[in-house]
Amino acid sequence: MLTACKKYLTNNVNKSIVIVIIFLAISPFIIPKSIAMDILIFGLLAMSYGIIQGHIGQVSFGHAALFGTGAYVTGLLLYYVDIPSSAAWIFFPAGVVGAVIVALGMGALSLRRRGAYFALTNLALLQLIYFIVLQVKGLTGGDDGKWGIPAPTFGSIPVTPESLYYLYFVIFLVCLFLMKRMFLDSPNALVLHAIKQDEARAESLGYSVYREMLKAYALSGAFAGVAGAMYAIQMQYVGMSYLHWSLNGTVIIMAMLGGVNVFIGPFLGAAILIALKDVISMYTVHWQLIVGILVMVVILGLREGILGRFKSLRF
Amino acid sequence: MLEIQDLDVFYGGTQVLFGVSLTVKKGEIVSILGRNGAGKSTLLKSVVGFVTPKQGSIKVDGKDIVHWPLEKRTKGIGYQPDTKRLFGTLTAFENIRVSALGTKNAKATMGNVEGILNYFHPIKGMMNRRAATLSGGEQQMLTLTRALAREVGLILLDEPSAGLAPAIRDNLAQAVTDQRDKSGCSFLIVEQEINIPLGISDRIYGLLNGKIAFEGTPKEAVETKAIEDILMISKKG
Repeated sequence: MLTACKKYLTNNVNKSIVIVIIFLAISPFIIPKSIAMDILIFGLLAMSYGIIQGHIGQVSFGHAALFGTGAYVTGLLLYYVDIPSSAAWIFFPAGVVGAVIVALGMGALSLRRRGAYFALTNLALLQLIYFIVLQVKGLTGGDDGKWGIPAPTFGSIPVTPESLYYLYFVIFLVCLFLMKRMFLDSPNALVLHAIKQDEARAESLGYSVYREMLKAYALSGAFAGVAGAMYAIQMQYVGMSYLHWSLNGTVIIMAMLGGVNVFIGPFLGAAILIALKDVISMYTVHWQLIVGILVMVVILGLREGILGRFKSLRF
Repeated sequence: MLEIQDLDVFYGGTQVLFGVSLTVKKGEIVSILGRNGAGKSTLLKSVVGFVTPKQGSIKVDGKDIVHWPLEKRTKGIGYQPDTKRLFGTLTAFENIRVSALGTKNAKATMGNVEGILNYFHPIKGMMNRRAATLSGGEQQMLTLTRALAREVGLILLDEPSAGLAPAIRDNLAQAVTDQRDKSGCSFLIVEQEINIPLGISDRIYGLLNGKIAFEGTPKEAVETKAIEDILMISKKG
């Protein structure tokens, strides 16, 4: 056992993952709980976006659509469907499925294009979803969103912020290991990295670039959907900000701040951004000004993100 | 195995191949000789699918593949391109592995690797190095290993001997014939250099200005001096 642990920790990527896990396990005791929760959820969201920029190699301005779909599907099902609150957890995976379906649709359309066209096709599709959700007021609450979403429970025991945090922590761990399996340790990861470097060459080896990218995009959607469903339950609210285009910017900054070519890079970026926002906004309402300067410094000085300089962490 | 008929290929308005027809039977090694710009690489690229012919048919096992998507064609083909298109940040081993995973029979392909590396022994100890850090000749050996190992019916080699040391060139010839004998696959090889094609080919085509100018056995090619004309070896000293 001990030797197995030692062997696992000889790898720097594994070390970094263990640090993330330890951080999340103890963070409710060392930082405010709401901040710990935000770091967990948006860390997962940023990592799901990291799949698109780090593994597919494209920038997307539509990632909020996947997060928002996860949140809205789970949130609205909880709101409208009357079932025992301990059974209501089944709406959690429903949000994930919804996000995957939207991801397959968005990916199918946008992955025919690259670069700016890919990014903007995603933005257009996000806006489409945004305005549909805005218009269907009767169902979604439109601009006001839906307040008072009933939280699922564990039998007769209500969910406390602590127990919800540690439930999410377990879900996060599952996602983390699935992501690692699918995007670091599998043949699939190798194929994606080959495609990212040279699409024509990968095709000449017998791969459908489109299909491989669509698979990755759909998986990214699944993890974004998990984050969305988490957020809807935790906030007991769904609203238009979940689908707003500015959320993409936040997620992209998170991912690039930490480094998109490092497995835990986007998570670190999310943690830093959320912590900074919290600390700086205690002193000034213009926290975005400070964060903006920091982002400029990172982009100009550390082009691969904070962790991008550590070669052993990169994939 | 491979049947090309009346192939016309254009780059923009310029015609590169003029009604090219050729066949490669199962288990046959066929070489195409020709000078720079004769259209040799273009011919291979049309088979792979990088270039779409304006007219003509390309049949593999009797099926016309011209309108197949690229990846459907290449699943059953081993292709070594003229420029060494390796994945630079992947290791040598990962480059081979990613190629194997693209075939229908990844396991058999990986099983071939060890044997083929024996012919290209200088890179045997470099499997964990990133491909971009290998020298030109080493990269060529890696692309060849990658293409030759593929457990497929047809292997296309575009100037395989380019950049190889003389001793390794001999090994290359041996690797090709051994792989043919072992798996029964067909080879279509494009070359400017004549020693390997003359040594191992069952048949030779000469390509001159986009047209087939010669077809015959290596022996006929030497005796009729057709190759000298096509490659312009004898002219102008």
